[in-house]
Amino acid sequence: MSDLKLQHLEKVYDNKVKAVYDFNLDVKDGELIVLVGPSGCGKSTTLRMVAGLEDISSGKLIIDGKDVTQTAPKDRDIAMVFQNYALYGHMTVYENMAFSMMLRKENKNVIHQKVLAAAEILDLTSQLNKKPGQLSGGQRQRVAMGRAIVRTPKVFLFDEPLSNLDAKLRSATRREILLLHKRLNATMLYVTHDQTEALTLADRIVCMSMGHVQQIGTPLDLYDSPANLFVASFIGLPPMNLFDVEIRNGQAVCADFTVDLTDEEKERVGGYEGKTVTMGVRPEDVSEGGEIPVDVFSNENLGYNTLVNGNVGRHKITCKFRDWCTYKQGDTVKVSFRKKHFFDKETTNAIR
Amino acid sequence: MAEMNEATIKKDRLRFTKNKLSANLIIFSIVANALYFVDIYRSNVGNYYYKLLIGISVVYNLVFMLAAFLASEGVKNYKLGYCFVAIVLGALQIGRIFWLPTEALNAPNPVVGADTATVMTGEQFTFVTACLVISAVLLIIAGITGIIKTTTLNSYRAELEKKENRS
Repeated sequence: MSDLKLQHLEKVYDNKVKAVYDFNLDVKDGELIVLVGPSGCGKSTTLRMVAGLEDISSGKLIIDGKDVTQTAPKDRDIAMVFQNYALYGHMTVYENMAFSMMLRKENKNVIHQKVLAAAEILDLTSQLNKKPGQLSGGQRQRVAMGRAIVRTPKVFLFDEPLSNLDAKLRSATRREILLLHKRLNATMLYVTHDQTEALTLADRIVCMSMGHVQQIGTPLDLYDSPANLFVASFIGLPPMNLFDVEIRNGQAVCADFTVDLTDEEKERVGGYEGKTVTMGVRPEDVSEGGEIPVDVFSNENLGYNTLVNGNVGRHKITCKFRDWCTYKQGDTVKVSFRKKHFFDKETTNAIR
Repeated sequence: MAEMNEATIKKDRLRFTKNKLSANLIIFSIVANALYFVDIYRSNVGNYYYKLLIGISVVYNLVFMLAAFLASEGVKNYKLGYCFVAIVLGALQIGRIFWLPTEALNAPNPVVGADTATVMTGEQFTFVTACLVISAVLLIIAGITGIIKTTTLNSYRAELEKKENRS
């Protein structure tokens, strides 16, 4: 396995549309990096540039210390797993997994051993004689992964591999990918728009929007200390509640409520006295009991948690309570906020 | 995964790969047979071939191609019975040399004249015989290869089953 460096990578299409702006990333050997962001943010384009399926307009791509910016895809020693599996329907699982090595005219016995080893890792041994059409979506995706594993590439690329699976299968396959990563200790670049995948799989997450990298950090970094408003609202489910508040005498004041700030928070927003900032509160940081009245309009029981949606004056709010709640539309529940995040109104950057 | 030596890997591979060698040999034997009958039926020798035998020959060619194709599929999937079918078809191809071609080689040509030429020239005889021999050899090799591979695979499977039962 190898390390991977993306230095000032940019992608400009022929019609002058710029898809990726100044992308910089150092991926350590054996690290699993997840590129996350909404559709059209440039994450797949970045992955395809690494794979060699898209030309790199400017910047450098270095794999294992070697500049491969201009190297043909087949010579980059990279394996890619696609969303739609891209399996050969007329070949058996065994043949699908062995195909790339057969093209390279590797020894048939060696191919056989590699395919069996990969099949065992992925629990596909009993499916080797079947054709993709006879397999479930999860099994097909495992075959696609197996095809990547047998090549023992320097870097694995995953382009939204779980998007075609139903929710249950997605979570099972996600666990398999995680186990696979631990077992192979492989360098992996994984693209998804699903933040749950990003948070559960990644060693580090790269959050992207409109072709720009918004933040690179561990899942906890992105969740706990989002760099800006975009990351704050994108990471976390349900998304963070946002309120425009004025900082006044150690309090966050808005038309509908006033919140006392802690000493640490006062220090953080000290430079914004008299100014309006955006305050973010995660639904899980809203607790029952307090001074802020929420007019409930829906109560969603999720088993262990309850999502209560309501209004605080003109502001919409989502609260995640750790109990089975039975609020009805029209009820009023008093809440308080635990951890608060503050963002500059103009730059949208976090105030730290 | 348990460690395997080269010979065992070779056997184990049979579990997941088809016998494409035998199957392809049989397909080539069908091609050789097609060359044979095209060459015979295109002959311009008056009404020499207009008899019951040619009808039987046409029907046999159709049956041969169907049987050979089925044998090709069967052999590909390690079906022992089809290996024997391939060998029998190969033997019949040899027998066919002594039927139409040999007869035509010795028969007087009704168009050119009985004194000057025979229905089948020596050159044509050589060609059609070669087609039949090639077809026969390919079928027999395919059949024998199929038998070897199929029995190897079957005994290996039995061995694995025994091991599984023991554990």
